[in-house]
Amino acid sequence: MFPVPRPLIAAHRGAVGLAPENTIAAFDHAVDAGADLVELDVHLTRDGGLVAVHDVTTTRTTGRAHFVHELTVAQLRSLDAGAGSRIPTLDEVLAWARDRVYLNLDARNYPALDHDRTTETAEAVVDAIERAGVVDQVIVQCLDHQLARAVHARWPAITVGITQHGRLHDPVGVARAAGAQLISGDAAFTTGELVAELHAGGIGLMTSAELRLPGLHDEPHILRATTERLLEAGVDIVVTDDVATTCAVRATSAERAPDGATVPVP
Amino acid sequence: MSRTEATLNELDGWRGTNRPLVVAHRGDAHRAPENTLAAFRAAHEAGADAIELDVQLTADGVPVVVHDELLDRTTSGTGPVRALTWSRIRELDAGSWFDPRYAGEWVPALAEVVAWAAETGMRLLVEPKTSPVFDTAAASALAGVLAGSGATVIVYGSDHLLIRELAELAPGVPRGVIVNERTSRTGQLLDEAQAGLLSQSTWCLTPDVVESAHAAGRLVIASARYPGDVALLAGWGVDLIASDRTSLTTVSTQLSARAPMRRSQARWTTCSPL
Repeated sequence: MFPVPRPLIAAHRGAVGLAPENTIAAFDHAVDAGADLVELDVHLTRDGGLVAVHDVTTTRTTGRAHFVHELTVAQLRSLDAGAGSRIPTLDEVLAWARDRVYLNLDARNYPALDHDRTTETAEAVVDAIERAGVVDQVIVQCLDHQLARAVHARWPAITVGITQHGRLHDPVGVARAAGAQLISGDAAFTTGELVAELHAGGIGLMTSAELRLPGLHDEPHILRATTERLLEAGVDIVVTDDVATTCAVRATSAERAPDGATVPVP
Repeated sequence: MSRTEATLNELDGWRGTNRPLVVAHRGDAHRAPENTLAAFRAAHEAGADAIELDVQLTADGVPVVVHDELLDRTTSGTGPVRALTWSRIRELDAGSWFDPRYAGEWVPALAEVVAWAAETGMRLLVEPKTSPVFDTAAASALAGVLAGSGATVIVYGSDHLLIRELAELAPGVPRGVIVNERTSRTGQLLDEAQAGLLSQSTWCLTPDVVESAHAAGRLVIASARYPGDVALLAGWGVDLIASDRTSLTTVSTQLSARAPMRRSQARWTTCSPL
């Protein structure tokens, strides 16, 4: 694909400071700011479509209280996702991203719901990627490791990531059990030893540089310090709400040459 | 006695009731500033069975009860907890942000809360929020406070290696792990950490997870993010139900009422924005 410096920088839900999260406008801004990946969340709709929304409801991002899985694509498209923009479908996002940028698709699934839609979600995500011809550009990220397995089983060529907040005894084993090649982990648990352990097992690491404290904006100096530490540890992908700052940190630490670690992105 | 049996026996103080234990998340945090003695006393008065609290380490390695990595949200201080010594943190106001009436509250040392719990008989669920990057002495600092304290304590968290370390350093203090993902390897994660309590996110908890935990003699804790979660979790046999966005009062009321809830309606409320 296109050559990129390491580590890759992922824009969390697009450039969220510049446009409403999970909209094409936010994704455009992220690319302009220098992001290598766009991270977005996808949900299965009532009629089996896939849309980019983070929460299980549309309350926070559209002001209308609905469960995403209870609405059709058409109904979701009629909502205002902020600043007059629409909730994009996954097909739309994949067409937009083609030959432009890598994607980290955080596929949402709620097994505690009335009927488990794990298989249906996996099939819909995989089929959309296949249709769009972007398998080389996409990571499917899952907090639900059983969804990760289902995606991997349906099309082993897809790069699969699992989200794993804890510090575990055998993270490589957990990733392999889920058919994953990438772990999205917590900055608090990200060390050089963890990166070495994962890389030895053929697993990459993605970490967010943000503190994510409710109601508290991250100080740029804290973001910089955390990013520096993550680069030092050798993570493969840094996720950020502030692409420009993160890119600047990467540029200044470019002298610290990459260790040849393999990023499980094609 | 095998290691597994020992791990499970340690939890005896948390078993034997015919209903789920009600856990006050950070104390009665809807009525008093979270993670202060005022919130813990309020939870005690409200009849909570246990209190969940969060622990960070100060610059001089003292375990203190505060949730965020930064002091900004819940105290008059700013910056990371680990940047200040205990004597500096002790001077901060941890109550005014919630209500001026609580201006006298401070960030309690874990030792103070454990001593209070030993006195009152209140059970504690202690969640270290420490990081192996910065807090390399976390296990011994926690063990120093928790081992032989006389209080009924479970220590549990996301750092499964830290929890396992505490099996050696604080024997007799039962342990739990937080698993906020749905994985097929939950039992293995508990074994590796020598933990008897599973804390799982409500969004991914399903009855089969509770069943297999119970089959292995383990306990399960989950949070009620919405009022409807209470009846649902109780119906699944969850052993400890923690308040969260749902207040302690609501959890207790729902639990004693055991209001019948249509399954589909309850299930709706279990999924929450992550």
